[in-house]
Amino acid sequence: MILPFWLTLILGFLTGSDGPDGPHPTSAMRGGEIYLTGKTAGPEIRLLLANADLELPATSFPCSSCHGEGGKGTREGGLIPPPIRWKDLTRPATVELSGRRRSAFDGESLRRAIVDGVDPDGVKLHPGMPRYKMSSSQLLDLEAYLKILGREQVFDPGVKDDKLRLGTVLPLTGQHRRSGESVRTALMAWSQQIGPEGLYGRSIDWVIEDSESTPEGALRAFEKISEKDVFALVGCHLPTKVEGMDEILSRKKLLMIGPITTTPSPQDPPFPWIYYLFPSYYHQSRSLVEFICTETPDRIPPVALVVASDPAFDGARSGVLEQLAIFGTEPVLELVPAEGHFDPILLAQALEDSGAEAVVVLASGTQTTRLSLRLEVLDSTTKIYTLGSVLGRDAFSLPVSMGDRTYISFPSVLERDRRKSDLTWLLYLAKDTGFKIESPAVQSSALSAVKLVQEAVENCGRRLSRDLFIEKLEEIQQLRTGLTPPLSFSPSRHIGALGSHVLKVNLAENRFEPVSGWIIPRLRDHKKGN
Amino acid sequence: MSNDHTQWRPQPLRFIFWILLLAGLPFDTISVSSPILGEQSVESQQGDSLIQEQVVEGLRIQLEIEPLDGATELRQGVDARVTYTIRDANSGEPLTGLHPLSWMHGREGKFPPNKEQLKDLTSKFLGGLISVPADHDLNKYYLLVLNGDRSISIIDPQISFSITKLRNLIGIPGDPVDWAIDEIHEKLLVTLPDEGQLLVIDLTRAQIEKKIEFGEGTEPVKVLIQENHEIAWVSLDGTDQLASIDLISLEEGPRIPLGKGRHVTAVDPDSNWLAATNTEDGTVTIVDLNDRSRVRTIEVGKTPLALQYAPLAARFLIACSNENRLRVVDPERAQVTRSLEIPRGVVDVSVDPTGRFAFLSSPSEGEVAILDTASKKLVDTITTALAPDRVICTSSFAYIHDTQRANIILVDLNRLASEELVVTELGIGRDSMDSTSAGRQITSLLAPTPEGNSMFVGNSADKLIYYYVEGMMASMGNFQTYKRIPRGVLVMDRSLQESGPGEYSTYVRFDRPGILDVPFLLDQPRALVGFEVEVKRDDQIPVAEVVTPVGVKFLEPEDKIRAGDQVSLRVAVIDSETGDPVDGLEDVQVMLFPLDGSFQERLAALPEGDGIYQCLGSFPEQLRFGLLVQVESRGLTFRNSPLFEIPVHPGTKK
Repeated sequence: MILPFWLTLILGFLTGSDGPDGPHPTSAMRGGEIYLTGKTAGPEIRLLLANADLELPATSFPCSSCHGEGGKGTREGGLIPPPIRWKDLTRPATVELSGRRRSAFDGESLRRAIVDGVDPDGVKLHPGMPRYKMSSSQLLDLEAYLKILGREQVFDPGVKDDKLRLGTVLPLTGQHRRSGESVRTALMAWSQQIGPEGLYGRSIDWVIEDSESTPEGALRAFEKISEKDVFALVGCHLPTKVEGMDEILSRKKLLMIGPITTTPSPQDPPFPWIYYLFPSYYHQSRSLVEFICTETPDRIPPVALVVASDPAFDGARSGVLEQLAIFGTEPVLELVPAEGHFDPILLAQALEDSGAEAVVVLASGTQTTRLSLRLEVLDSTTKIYTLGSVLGRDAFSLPVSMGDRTYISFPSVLERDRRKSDLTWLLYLAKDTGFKIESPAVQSSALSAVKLVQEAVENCGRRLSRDLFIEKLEEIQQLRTGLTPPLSFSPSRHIGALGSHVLKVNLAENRFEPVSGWIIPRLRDHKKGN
Repeated sequence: MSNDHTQWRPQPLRFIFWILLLAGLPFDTISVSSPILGEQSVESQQGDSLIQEQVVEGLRIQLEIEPLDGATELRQGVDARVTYTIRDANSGEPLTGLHPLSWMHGREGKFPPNKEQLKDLTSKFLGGLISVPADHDLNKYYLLVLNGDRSISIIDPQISFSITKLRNLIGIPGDPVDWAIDEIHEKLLVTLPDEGQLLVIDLTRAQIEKKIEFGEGTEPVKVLIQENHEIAWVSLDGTDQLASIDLISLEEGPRIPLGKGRHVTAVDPDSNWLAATNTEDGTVTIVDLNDRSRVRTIEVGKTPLALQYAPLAARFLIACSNENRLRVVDPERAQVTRSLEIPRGVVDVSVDPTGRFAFLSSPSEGEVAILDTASKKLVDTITTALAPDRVICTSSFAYIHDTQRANIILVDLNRLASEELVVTELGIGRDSMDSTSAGRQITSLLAPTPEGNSMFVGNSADKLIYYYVEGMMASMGNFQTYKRIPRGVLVMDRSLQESGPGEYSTYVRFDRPGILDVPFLLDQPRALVGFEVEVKRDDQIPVAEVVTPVGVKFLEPEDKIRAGDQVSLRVAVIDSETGDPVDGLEDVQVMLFPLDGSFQERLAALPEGDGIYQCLGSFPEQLRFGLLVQVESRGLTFRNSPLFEIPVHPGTKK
């Protein structure tokens, strides 16, 4: 259970009841339970909805559900639950919905408001405010909590007085154990550098669970870690698809920041509990099409599409079709061979016959190389565009003549764009902890994820909470980690680096050459303006 | 660098844009809604409602008036918070980053202004001319200068014509040491240690409202206003106590005992905690502002002289000037949570607007150390200043004040957040900032403007206030202090500022009853909306019907006035009907200006009896001066006052 644990972290500082065995429940702590969950020890708290003759347990509408966990008030669905921190209550205020001024509350009038639904002037509260049935001692407990609400020492899960507990799920056994171990080393180096003084007095405390390199193991790891009072999951190294992961994150309201090996699915609005560093295949394929359609001014070449039978490419295929549609066109040919029937001879011939000048290939590295070899046999001049992270090292098995005509997406930072100052923190990390990068791809992603978390936590300050963390995370713009393109987030954007570079394969020198800047695919046809 | 006669003013482009907009464009291009028109107005509630709303051009604009006395209606003589909330009419999303303009002006006819009248009214106010000011201009700010000659200048830096920048000069009966501004109630508090007094100046009338007596030998030095503007705290260094002043009643509350020595104070932004240093004891006193009986004292080291609250860290930072240590104090537990090495001799701790970085200034070492309050580590030290004594920040830059050079050093805060130190040095003025002794004054010579991208920089050697706009390599201009030595600068901001997402607020004192027309102007999208506000008469305040017009006469001084003189100026106020002297007036004002129009002073004249009122006028140059008198409560204004001419003769050689 999260909340009871959370509430034990509310220190009894106001009553001075901290003993050597830790905090004991105080009136304010019990009040905190009522405020946040609608229940506490003692008789069940019930509520009456003002405009409905309906009695419900208070757990269905605890105070925090409308007034916010910090008591600052919210705006939702035409209702404007006001702030109810003690300093707000004990001042005259204007009731926003009616424009009427109300007098200041004191303890007695507050209790009347909770029980009878009237304000200090005897005027009925807005019908959105239920009337609660609770005992006198429960009312006093709630009042005691409202007096400290909004002050510092009310902590969210994973936030302790001197520690911030982060979690991660890594393959520490099984096929990917070496990769998982390298991520663990990077995460430990970062927290070692943060040191005992930590971020605003909180050092980093890691909870790490083993995914055993399998989806089933990863799911078990998520179940375990979600019970371990962590603030957020950071830099998780996961199998491609973990069924049930999203459900656990939603149920436990657990944030996941910068998962290394999973890519975002195109969702609008985005899944609320995950923030990604890099774009998905969907976004990369859109950047590739954007490049194809804008490479030659005022001319869009005929584009073909080859998609291997693999659900992993479904998103990328949608991206290609959607982006072509934005440019007012569609593929001259779309080839989707059935599983086990990826025949390069037939595919190459069909591409040549179609007159396509560009073909987007969404297939494995081997399949793409084989198709490329066949196109060379046909003396084809067609250019191949594919996903860089899928083609990988197979790029250097391409036939020489096709190398010049093969382009890949690359959704990361280019060496030429990397500022020396962006890497200063890494130099210090190496100097302070002796850390060396061994697995650049996964370790860089893990370090970028913790850098992102550090930035948001530093902007939150000592009064760290999940709500504030999300707010600050979604305010981050152009964060330069040195290891990723600049990262930006917003409530509607959970992908930090949205877009891609396009690189050309240089087989003569066995390297990739950038042929574009960072391409953010357009969302609509600028000519039509719709 | 030219002096005050340059024809520039801060924030001109915004106003020029609006004048062009209103004057040059067809009126139909601006969406207008006014209470009587109604065609684009929905859900409009007018007059005595404290919350009104209009929808125009897809915007939902809400005007809320919150009387600070907690009343449910707006009454004469009350301060109120005025808030415009601007939202998208469809989605309800608050619109941030806007620059709305608004005014409140007593209705001149019976009916609300129609489209053309609303436009004309707005154009008139936008002109910025002193001859047509709105009763309440919600776009104004003023520059206050604490002068070395026991006076305070109030300067309007936004007025178009240089001749009218100096609005008032207020004499101070003692040597001021510290000051603080209560913008909500428009009060300026000034400590006079030798007199044992706290002076309360009413900035709306530019006159001393009250002298709060602490007693002989109490030595009030540091004055600090809580963020919630309820209490002012005054350190009494002579008796080692902390006095509390209620900012509404201006009465003193119970005192809090402190340790021995000099005291520097700081309060957290939520007004939960106050800390005061005790330099002789080497301690800090922590006061729980929610329970003032909860006072705890903790040891922090030798001579704690600099103190600041770091909001993100939720800790007080205390620098001990006689040892090279900074102590970080948790107010909740009243414990030192961290001690770290810093340069010796730190006299000032400032925190940037994000609350993340603290700047520790050590004039003796010529260093400013930068502390990252997240990691509690010194991230850099700036050594280019000779004697840095204070750092003041805008949202983009930290300004380091150097007492031994005519330079300021700017630290780019955005780059600092990206772990880069980018420092720029600028020459501001001709001579070093503080080459003349500042005595005990602890006021700052740097004051950021409400625009957030510029700074007023007082230079006591040059006797000028420079105006610097970020991005420039030199100051844009300056304000004359008329040979007075500036010892401190402050800004009194009465302009609408974004106080929350889509919320734009300021404070207004509603002195007179009646209906006010309230034009509201927005640039994107272009919209002009008219609200109206009713101020109810307060029966306790005498009704104006008894007023009869008064006449005035200037009583010429017996001796010749010479350049450089300060002279007691006396005017006689008489009842126009009976010719009898009129006593008991509290709003007699004198405007004194050279006839060449190069500046002006507005002075509050105090009663001497027999209808005579006097004030102290300065005649810095050998010019012919004009004198006008205003008694607003009796219908006499500067506009209908007779003009009295005063010749000034050459100054005597010293």
